[in-house]
Amino acid sequence: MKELVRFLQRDVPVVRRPLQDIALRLGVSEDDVLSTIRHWLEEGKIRRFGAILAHKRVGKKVNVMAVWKCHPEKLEEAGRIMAGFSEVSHCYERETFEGWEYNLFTMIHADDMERCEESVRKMSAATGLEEYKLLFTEKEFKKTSWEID
Amino acid sequence: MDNAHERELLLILQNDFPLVLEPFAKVAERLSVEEGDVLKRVQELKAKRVIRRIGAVFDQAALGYKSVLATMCVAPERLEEVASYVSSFKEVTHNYSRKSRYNLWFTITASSQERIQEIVRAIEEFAGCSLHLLRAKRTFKVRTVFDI
Repeated sequence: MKELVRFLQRDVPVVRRPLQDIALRLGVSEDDVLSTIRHWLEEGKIRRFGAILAHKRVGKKVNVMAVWKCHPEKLEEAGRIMAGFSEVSHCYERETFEGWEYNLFTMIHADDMERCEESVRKMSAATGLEEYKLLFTEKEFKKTSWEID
Repeated sequence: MDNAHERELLLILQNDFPLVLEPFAKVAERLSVEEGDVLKRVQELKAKRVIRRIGAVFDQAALGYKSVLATMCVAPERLEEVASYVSSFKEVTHNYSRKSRYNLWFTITASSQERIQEIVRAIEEFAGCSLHLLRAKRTFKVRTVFDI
């Protein structure tokens, strides 16, 4: 199973029958590979299957992590509202620590910084959350796709 | 294949990849072009890095892996050095410096909490300051597709 996960996390070859080589290497049939993919999609083990595009190449050039202070009672609603913004790719409630009270995290993508900031203002207005911080990326040290051991 | 076709092609490949043994033939059929044209164009789009890869996006938690966001407040003069130590762990998938008092932000994805703790201890020892883990308590959204 881990072996198949590893193959599918990498790059499926762009050939007429992309699963043929994987099946051959694993010593199973192509149909087995295909039905396992389908099964894992149904189970939610695979979030999606297809092309992963480089988002910098399809228009969204900048991103910012916006963090918000939200009262626990308002979290469910605020989280749902923020998740509804198409420019938001990730939205989580996270643990806090002493000296860090921002508990709602959003990742925002846009063509430029002004648009990111505009989205943040809209999100603030829509949720009523006024205490927030924008954490702009200074330097990207590492960005890789996660791979199973 | 023109630009309108190319956008349509990317949309199909991203959002509606055919789960069949010959997916590119199916895509060609939908675009009313030859399979060979699709294969050629997809290879070009990969060479141009418009398409990063074709494959699966797994749910780490569903595979039994733990993922956590971590942050540290590193002395500016040691930032590069600490950041490259942090990046040296294969379990660290993303690592950025950000304009904030907490200036280093990274994610750790590992097969167990114990392994995460091991990495935390090693980084804290190297950096000489404490690392804070910000575990997700609730997930409102994780999106892996983009508007084209």
